[in-house]
Order: sequence, then structure tokens, then C-alpha cells
Amino acid sequence: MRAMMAFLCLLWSSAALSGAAEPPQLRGGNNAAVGETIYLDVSGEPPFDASKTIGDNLASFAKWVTITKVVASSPDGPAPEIEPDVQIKFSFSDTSLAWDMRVKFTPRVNGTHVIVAAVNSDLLLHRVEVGPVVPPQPPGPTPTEAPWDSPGLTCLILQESQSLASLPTAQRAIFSSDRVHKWLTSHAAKLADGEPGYRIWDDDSDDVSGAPDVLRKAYAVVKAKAQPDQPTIGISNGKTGFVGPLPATIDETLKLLESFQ
Amino acid sequence: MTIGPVITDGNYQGFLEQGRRGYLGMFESAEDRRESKTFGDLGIPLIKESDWDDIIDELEKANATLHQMCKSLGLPCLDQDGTNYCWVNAPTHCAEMVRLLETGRVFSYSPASVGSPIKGFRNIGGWGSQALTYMRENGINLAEDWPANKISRSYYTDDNQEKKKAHTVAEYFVLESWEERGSCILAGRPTADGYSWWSHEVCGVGIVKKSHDLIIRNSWGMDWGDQGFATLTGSRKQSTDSVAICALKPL
Repeated sequence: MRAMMAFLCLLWSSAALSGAAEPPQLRGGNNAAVGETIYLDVSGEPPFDASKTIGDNLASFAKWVTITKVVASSPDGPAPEIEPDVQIKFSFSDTSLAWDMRVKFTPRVNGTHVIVAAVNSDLLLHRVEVGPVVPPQPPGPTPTEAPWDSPGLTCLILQESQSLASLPTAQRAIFSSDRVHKWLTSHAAKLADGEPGYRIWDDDSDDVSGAPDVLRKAYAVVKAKAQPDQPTIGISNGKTGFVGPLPATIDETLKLLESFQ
Repeated sequence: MTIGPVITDGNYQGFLEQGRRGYLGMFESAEDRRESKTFGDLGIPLIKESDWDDIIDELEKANATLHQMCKSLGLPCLDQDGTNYCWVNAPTHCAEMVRLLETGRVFSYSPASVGSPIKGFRNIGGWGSQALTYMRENGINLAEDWPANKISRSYYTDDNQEKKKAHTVAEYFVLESWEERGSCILAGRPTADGYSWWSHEVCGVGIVKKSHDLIIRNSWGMDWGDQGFATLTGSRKQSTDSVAICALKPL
């Protein structure tokens, strides 16, 4: 049996994962062509429990409830197709079930795509290069895989100050975390004024004219993709990057940042 | 856990004369108060006091309370020294904390660059909202451009007035209840709190787990309290008025 659901969020239960022997992983190929479908394996699914009935096992599987999201950060252009692909096999010989979960991914534009899956406390990242990269066609703009041109790693987080109290505490702690600020201070590119190129701004900042050029460009990109009442993070290292929802915890944020180091 | 000296209903008189003060009140008139936006006007959600302990616990474990952040990232408190400008020092330190949250960097601002033009370069007390309104309309200078406590016309130059504009308060709002003050602090925004009993204005930066006492940061230098931090308990923590700065002009 194969079930497919055409949405970006892939959900499964933390309880179901608790019996997994290894931490969940997101694995698969790193290259694809436009229109080509590739599959990424999501490991860590709950194992078949022979002490339970088939119905309970199926129920456990069906309860792949959710705190986990899977999203794709992609270059500008048509959005890729990304959906879960679930297979369940029944063995008549020992009346057991086996199942497998994959992410079906079909890119629609060249460039670097980053698949991000947040599974419990783990943030799983998988990069897919979609090519070939088309050489620049003068006189048009040079295509870039980075969200904005950046002289090294730069980062902008937008949050709505008036919604801070509504955020989960673990996410709100990111803004005042010394670990996040110290990491960014030591790894972000130094801008013209010699200061690290990262900021945490209110998302309705009207006047960013006093900010460095690279952060003004970042603001335009991140602001365009920001969701209402949801903090958004933008990262660019000049070659690739990510713009999407701010991870849920300090650890996940650092993991995401480190992946673009 | 309390931090620094604990100021209680029983011992507060001993703290009255320890340093310069100068708080006349937050608003000079009822009209001034009415014209200011409130927490409720902005539709900011409250964090129920019954939820505070879990939040405090989680923030402390992450080393992400405001007072932990100030210590970890090295933001010193202000020292109003010989001035009566507590009513400027409190919102100034709030602004420094907001900048720290935005950039991870320590910005040292000059309370004198705000208080002196308002008071005609006189060393006298003032109203908290005067400082905030000035900071919103004109901004504040870095201490490297205008020494923090230098009440002098010689620094009131066109160049400094222009430099101020990079550091303007985008918006501030009035907090009308203890639950609003706690919500604001636990959401990561310091408050500027005026106390008539103390004739003083200081920053609210933290809530003590279980007791819900208030952790403040004073402007009497790093040698006072625990790097300027202290704890107000009982009715001492009930401010006459409180305000909070949402954000500064992006830099």
C-alpha cells in the first residue's frame, strides 16, 4: 500500500520514535535534475512490535504524530514538490508488518536545495544540488544560489516584538542566548565597520537605511518570505543559504547555522 | 534565586540615600500618560503568572534570562555618578539591552546626551516619559561621542545631533499591571520602572522563580549590588509606572 499526501509537513510521533535504536536520519542522493524525482530515506521509524496486534502496530504507525516538519529551502522560482511516501508490507508467513518512510522530492529549478526535517530534538539537513547550473546570460542578472550576496556568512532573524510572549519559551530563548550570539559573533563575516554581519530585528522595521548594505538586502529577502507571527531566519554564505522558519530551539538553530559555515 | 542586595519593606530606607536619584514620575500629566500606547493597545498577549515558573526554569537552564545575557555578553550597568538623571539612565540601559539582543554587541549610550537638552543643561530630576519621547524623536548619542554623565552644552553639536538619529527608539509602551511587567520581562524585553518611594527609576530585568520577586538593574555603577543587580520584594517591587522599549531603529 502506498499513501501520498501532498503537503510540506511530515508528521510522526515522538512516542513512536522512542523505541528506535538510532537517532533519526535523512539520507539519499545529493544530486538531481529539474523534474527528476528522488527519494530521501527517513530512518528512525517505530519498529514492528510482535507483542502487539497488527491493529495496534498500525495504530502506532498511524500515530506518527508530530512535531516534526519537513520543508525545502529552494532558490527563487517554481516551488519543488515535496511529500511523504509511505510503504507498508504485510508478511503472510509470520503475520508481521514492515514499513518504510521516504520523502519524495522533485525540484523545479536549478540550484542548491536544502531539505530540513525537525524530528523531536534533532534537526536533519540534507542538501540536494540541482543542475546543471545555467551559466549567466548577459545582460540579465547572475543567477545565485545564495539568498543574497554575502562576503561570508551573514544572518538575519526577523521576529515580531509584540508576539514574543506567544512564542514557545525554547524558541524565544534563542534571541537572548549567549551561545547563539557568541557563535554568530565569532563566525559571521566582518562587515565594513569591522562588526559581525548578523542581526535580530523586528519584522516591521520601517527604516533599515542605517544598516550595512548586505543586511539591508538580507532584510528584503527574509521579509518577503516571513510568515505572520512566526520568526524567520535567513542565512547566506555567498554560495548557498537558507530562508525559512526559525528552528524551535537554541541547539537546532546552532546546528542550522553550522551547516552553512 | 535572588540576586544582589534584597530590598524589602523592612529595610528599604537604608537604600534611599545610597546614590543619586531624580525620578519625579513617569508622566508629567495624565494627558501625557493617555497619549502613550499601552501593552493592551498593542494587543500583546499576557503570560499568565501561573506559567511564569516553568518559563523562568527553562530560560535559566538555557542561560537566556536577561540578567544572564547581560553578564554572559558583558553589558555593564550604568553609573549616573553625580547626576540626577536616573529617569534617563533607566530607559538608556533598556536601550542598551535591546541593542545587545539585536546585535550581540555592547553599545554604551550617553544619558547626558538625552537629559541635558531636555533640562536646559541643568542637573535636575525629570519625568521618565520625557526621556523616552526625546529618544524616540531625536535619539541618543554613544558615550564615545558624548560622555555618559557630561552635562555640557559643548557636546550639543550639529554633528552629535545628527549621530543621535542612528539610535532612536522605534516605539515604547506603558505597562499597567504586574502581570504585564512580568510578561514583558519574560518575553525578553526589559522594563523601565519608576518608584515614588525611592524617587528613583531602574530597569526590571528578571523574575525570581517561585517568590516572583523582581530582579532590577540599577544605575549606581558595577560596584553596587551584584554588578548593579538587586532584588525587590514585597510592595517594594510595585512600581508607580513602568514602560518598555519595543525596538530601536535597525543598525
